[in-house]
Amino acid sequence: MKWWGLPAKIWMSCFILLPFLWLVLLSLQPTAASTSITTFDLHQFSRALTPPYSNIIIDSVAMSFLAALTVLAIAVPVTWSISRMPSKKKNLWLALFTIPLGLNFVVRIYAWFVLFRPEGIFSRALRGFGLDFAFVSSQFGVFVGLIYGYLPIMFLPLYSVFEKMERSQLEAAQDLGASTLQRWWHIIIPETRSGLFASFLFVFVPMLGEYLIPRMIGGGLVATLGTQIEGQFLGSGRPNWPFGAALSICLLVAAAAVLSSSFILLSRQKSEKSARWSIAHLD
Amino acid sequence: MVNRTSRLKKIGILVWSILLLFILYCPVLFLVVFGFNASSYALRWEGFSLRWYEKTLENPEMLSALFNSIMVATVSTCFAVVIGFLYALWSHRQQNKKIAAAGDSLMSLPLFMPEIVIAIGLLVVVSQIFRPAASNIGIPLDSMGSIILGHTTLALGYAALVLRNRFKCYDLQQELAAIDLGATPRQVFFRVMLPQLVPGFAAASCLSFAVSLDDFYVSYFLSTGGSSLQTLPIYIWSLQGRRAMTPEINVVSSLLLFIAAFFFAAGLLLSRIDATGKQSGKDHL
Repeated sequence: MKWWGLPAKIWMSCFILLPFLWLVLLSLQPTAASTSITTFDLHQFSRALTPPYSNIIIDSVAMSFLAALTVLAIAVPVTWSISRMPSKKKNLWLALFTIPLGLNFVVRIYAWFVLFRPEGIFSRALRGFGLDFAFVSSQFGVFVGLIYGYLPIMFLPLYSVFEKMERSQLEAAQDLGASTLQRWWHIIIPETRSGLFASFLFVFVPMLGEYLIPRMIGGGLVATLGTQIEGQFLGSGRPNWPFGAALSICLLVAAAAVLSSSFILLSRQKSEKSARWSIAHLD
Repeated sequence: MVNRTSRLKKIGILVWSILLLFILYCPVLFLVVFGFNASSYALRWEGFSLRWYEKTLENPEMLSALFNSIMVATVSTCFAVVIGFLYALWSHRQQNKKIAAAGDSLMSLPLFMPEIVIAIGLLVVVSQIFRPAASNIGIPLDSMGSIILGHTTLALGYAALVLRNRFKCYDLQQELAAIDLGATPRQVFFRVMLPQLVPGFAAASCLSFAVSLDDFYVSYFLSTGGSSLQTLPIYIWSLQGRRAMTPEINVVSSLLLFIAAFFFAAGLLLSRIDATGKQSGKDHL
């Protein structure tokens, strides 16, 4: 009985933990040619953290952050209203918003690309309205593509957050005549804060390493962390595995930084709130 | 007054939802419809025809990609479900909750790591450690083998999670009753425990299969090592990069869409069925 958990743990150690460890060791190798682990130095990291690569890292983090925030803002009103529907209607709407999650990612991005190319139907129609945007081969196009690609991922986690929320406080506020804005600002957002952060991270972290969208929609003209990492491993130029490894460690560190700062922010707000709560009750 | 603003709000939300659904579904619908195009160009509509379906279903390159995808998905689903089941059983029986929780977070790592990092990590260890080690003992680890290893890792995260949650609604009373009535451990395992877990197995298998079919990153990075091996998503990716685009890409995409979405939907629905066979309404995902 005791050994039953072992195969799974060994598997994860061999194919998740060991690769991670190996990437760390590889990133500490000085030259592109090093294929074995020999020495330790920080040359690759100092290269990754100076321009032009530092700018690419900052751009990617900023773009993913904004795109994930936009996805959250787009999904919140819909998911909230679904979570308050009667259960039959709810299942139908939830299914409609969940199905795109099961549609293949490569296919969805390609389908988007076809419609929004300069000769595509959508961009022609938009040009007809006088809206001439560069939806492909531009930073803006990649940004919109990220939003389109990751939108379906947001609905289920958000839904479970809203579904679990305690309703009594909200009903009390409504009875006492709080406006919609007041209800959101004082009750719904504080109450579901940690769930909102989790859903945000669920989208932000994979966006940060996205390769497919910048490559296909950006047409090779938009450099992101994902395309740079891919280039170091499979690119047409000279591969540089240690540098690619260093870039992917930077990716993980950036994701971890956002994660931990959100934790710190959350716990501080919580303690502030509870402090205010206890003061209010002392009075 | 209050009524009017709340009605306006409702209409606003409805319009917003329909707009979102339109944006989410429209590109994919266009793609599927253009697979029935008579024209030789992917972008110009010249009437309905099944010409490209016939052509695509005879294309050996596409058939081998389809075969590879199904082969990889089947093998890695078997691995993932068996290993995931053993893990779920261990985690369920583990008395020490802290140890069980640590195990659960180890198993959920593939769900939270960026896929590109998982993929290059696998590329690095496969080509620098596992492939040399395997050839030392006389086993060639080719692209197919390494892609199977990678897909099993991704699928195992989901399979372990689904089966683990399945055990949470496991009815221990039945097992105790069986033991009281003199059932041997083997009988308890096969007659009491496994039947209760059938929906969980089905859900875990379907989801693992869908995860493997859908995967792009792991196949993309591992397929270039040694002989290049194409799965369906990689084949679509390579078609997209070619100069002359025929409706063939639409046909291949539609096929992949339907197969993968079927398994995904089945997995999701099955994970909502509880042990008595009723819809529990609660996701076990």
